[in-house]
Amino acid sequence: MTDGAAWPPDVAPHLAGLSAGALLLSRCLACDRRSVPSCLICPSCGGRDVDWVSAAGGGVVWARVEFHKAYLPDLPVPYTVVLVALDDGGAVYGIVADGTYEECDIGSAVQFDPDRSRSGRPTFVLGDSA
Amino acid sequence: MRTAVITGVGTTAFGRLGLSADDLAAEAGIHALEDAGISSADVDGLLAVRVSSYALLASRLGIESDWSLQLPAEGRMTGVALAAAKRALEAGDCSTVLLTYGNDGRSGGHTYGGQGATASAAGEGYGTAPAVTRAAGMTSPGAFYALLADRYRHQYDVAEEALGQVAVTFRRHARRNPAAVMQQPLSMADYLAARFIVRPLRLFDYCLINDGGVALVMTTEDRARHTPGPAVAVRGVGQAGALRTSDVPPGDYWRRQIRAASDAALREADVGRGDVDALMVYDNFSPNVLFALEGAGYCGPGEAPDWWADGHAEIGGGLPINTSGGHLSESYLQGWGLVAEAVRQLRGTATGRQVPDPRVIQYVAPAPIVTSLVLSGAGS
Repeated sequence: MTDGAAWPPDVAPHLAGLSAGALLLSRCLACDRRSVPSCLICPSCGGRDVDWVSAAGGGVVWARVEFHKAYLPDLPVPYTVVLVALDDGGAVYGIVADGTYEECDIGSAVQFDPDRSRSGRPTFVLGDSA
Repeated sequence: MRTAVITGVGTTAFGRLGLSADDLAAEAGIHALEDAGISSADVDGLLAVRVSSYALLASRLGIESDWSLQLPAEGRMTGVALAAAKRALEAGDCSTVLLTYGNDGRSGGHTYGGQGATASAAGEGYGTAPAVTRAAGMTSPGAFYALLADRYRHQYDVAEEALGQVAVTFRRHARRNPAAVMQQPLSMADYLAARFIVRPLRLFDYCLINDGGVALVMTTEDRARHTPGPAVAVRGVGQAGALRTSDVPPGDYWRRQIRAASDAALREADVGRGDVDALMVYDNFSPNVLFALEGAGYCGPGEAPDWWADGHAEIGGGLPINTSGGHLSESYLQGWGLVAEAVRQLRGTATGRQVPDPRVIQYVAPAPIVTSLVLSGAGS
């Protein structure tokens, strides 16, 4: 299994951040591109210097899906996953707490929920602020 | 200029067979050698996919290859495999290649997503960091396509029947193909009544994990004159990558890369889209077929659903697609079955589902590596 935890070690700060209630993305110091995982050479500008920054947490739904098949034993179905285009740059996947497929329509505002994300699962709630 | 041609095609049964991937690849390989009318001593190139070991295949089939290659199990590699063999033959690095593929996904209990048995990030659900996506519950390739389908439906105001009609058409085709796993009729009502797997995708939007093997014998046109069956030329190949940004879904449904790969294959073959008599599209999930049609330029953005509803994709339509039933209804053979079907159509041996006198067939596989192939009858 190719697993991000093995190599490259460029997702550990993101995962550790969740446990601490933060949404950390890698940032290119040259062009401000934000991503998870990080990179050694920026795909946008070729820059080689990155750091990790905490996102403000607001964003809009780029697309959403509702899982009906249970792939992960500790995650009961149905649950809704969205790809969030973050207001301050970059995109992350997250579970929408209490959000149905219909409620999470594309373009909906969502906000990172620090407390629920401490479980290690990046979690968002609908609306402009938590 | 030597042109690479396919002179032999071999397939196993498809379904729950209880055979290993190596057994399936070997059996298909023997069928392909017989079909080409050659022995393993005539083979000096070996390309193996999804097997445990190229060495095991070579020794079991008695092949001594001076050109050997094994590629990872992802279906996006099928077009890469055919292109690599074509280039090696045309460069003169070898003279006759056996390409062989074995998949024991069903007997082997392969699952995709949730840390299943498939040993790649692609199998886990695309991107390069499964630890991150899985944390969000975002796992399985189907979920990745469900997300793209959700975006596509929103962007172009597309009804859920737009995906269903792809599944229904391919099932109709499969019912004309005795080798296809799925033989029961499938109506739109059946499609809509089926359960969601990852909404908006339903059961019949997904390919069929099964066991099966496919093999091809590829050589150069000058060597193919004495083969028993008609040879089929691999006229053009194209490839375009979307790997650098594969951690998030492509906002344009890979349109730019699909167009680049398709145009490159058509250009090398010296044909245009209007010359193409049938399409074979990598239908791991139904939305991918719509993305391929729009990306390659057969339809404008958002127009594939209406185009499909007009019946073009049916056998008997203007551009029949996946005449074998494809991955959705024949069997999930990761593109290999579609290439075998293209060869049989061009040879005129697709009994029960034959497209009338096809000259040119194109293969298009959208993925983070997009590939396209253009095949046509040798000498035509």
